[in-house]
Amino acid sequence: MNQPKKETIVDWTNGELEGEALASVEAWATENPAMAESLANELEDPFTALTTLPKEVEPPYPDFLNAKIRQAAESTVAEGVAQEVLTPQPSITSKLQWLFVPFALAAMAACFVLGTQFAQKEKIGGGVAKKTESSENLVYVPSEKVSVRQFDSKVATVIVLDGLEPIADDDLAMTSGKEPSDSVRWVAKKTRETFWY
Amino acid sequence: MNIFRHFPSNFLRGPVGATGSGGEMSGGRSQDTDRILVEQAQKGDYSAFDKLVTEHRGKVYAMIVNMVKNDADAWDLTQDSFIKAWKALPKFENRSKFSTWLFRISHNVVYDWARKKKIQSEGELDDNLFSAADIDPNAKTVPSQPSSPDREMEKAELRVEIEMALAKLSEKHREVILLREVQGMDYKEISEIIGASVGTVMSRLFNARKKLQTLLSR
Repeated sequence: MNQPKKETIVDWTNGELEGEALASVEAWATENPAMAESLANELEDPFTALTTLPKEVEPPYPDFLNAKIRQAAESTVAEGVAQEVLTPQPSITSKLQWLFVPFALAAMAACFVLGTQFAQKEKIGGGVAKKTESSENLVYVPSEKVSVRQFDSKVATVIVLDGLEPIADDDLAMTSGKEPSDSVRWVAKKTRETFWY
Repeated sequence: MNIFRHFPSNFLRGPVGATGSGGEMSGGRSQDTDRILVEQAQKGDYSAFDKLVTEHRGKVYAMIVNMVKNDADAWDLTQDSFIKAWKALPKFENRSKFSTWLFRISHNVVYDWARKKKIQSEGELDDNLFSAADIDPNAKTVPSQPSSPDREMEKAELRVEIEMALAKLSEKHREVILLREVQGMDYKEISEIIGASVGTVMSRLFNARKKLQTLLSR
């Protein structure tokens, strides 16, 4: 920005500029502070009578002033220390408190996973459900030579007959009054029936 | 006659009355010293801050007493200024002059005090808070050099007249003219202290000078 005219700077020094003119000169002065200062000093009309007033005046009881300031400063420091002492330092548990929530969530997730793992093992290990020998036999066997044992489970009931005479293969027939998909199957000996008319 | 006034009561400041000479160092060296002392004080060394107080209390007190025209209030406000400076010292960045920053604090202290006084006073609407009647003609000052009694009396009378005229200015005008004509600060420093632009500083200076000339020419 160009240096303003001398008359403009004089007006500025005398505080007679306003609005855009003032803003313009101030912008120039901000960019060129040393030049502005030098010109302003050259052009200003100082009030030299004020130089009779002393620049420095030692206050009454200066050492006492210093002592009072020191006392106030020390009490400021003491207040700061007391504040630190009164404010309890956080304990280790409170410092680690932020860990509680994620730890709890992790524990819950672990329990859930373990629970599902156990449930699956129970399911895979059986299909074979636990066999229990039932005390209540459903089969009547007249021959004393044949013993019956019955095993019940969720998926099937198994009846074991001990002491039967062996059955020849030719005599065996897989017969069922129902479709093969049905759960009921039985084996019977073939017999020839003769009908007389 | 007190011959002891010629001996330094404070080795930093030199003999009593030796304002602008003797114990006062050149501007650049004083600034460097201030910077070093501020750094030490910021690290917790109170003796360094004590040296800063001793170095600057004269200027701060002179400025404040010319503003408030009361020795007791000026003493309290000087103490308050330094206490605030100690508390705010950790925030001082030590890039600008310590004296400018200190004057800024004392400016705020004086204005806060004046505001409270205005609130407490009854029915006082005039901005010229400080009346000429508050000036003590026997106010203690430190003459530069002993001179003849007649000359001393003339100077004392002129000083009283000037102080009475200053008291009739508004606070804003009085402050800028004291900072410029008495403390010898440049426009940029004054603008930092009062929190206004350089243009505002010049405007107030011009008006203050004009009004003073009018008052003193009566």
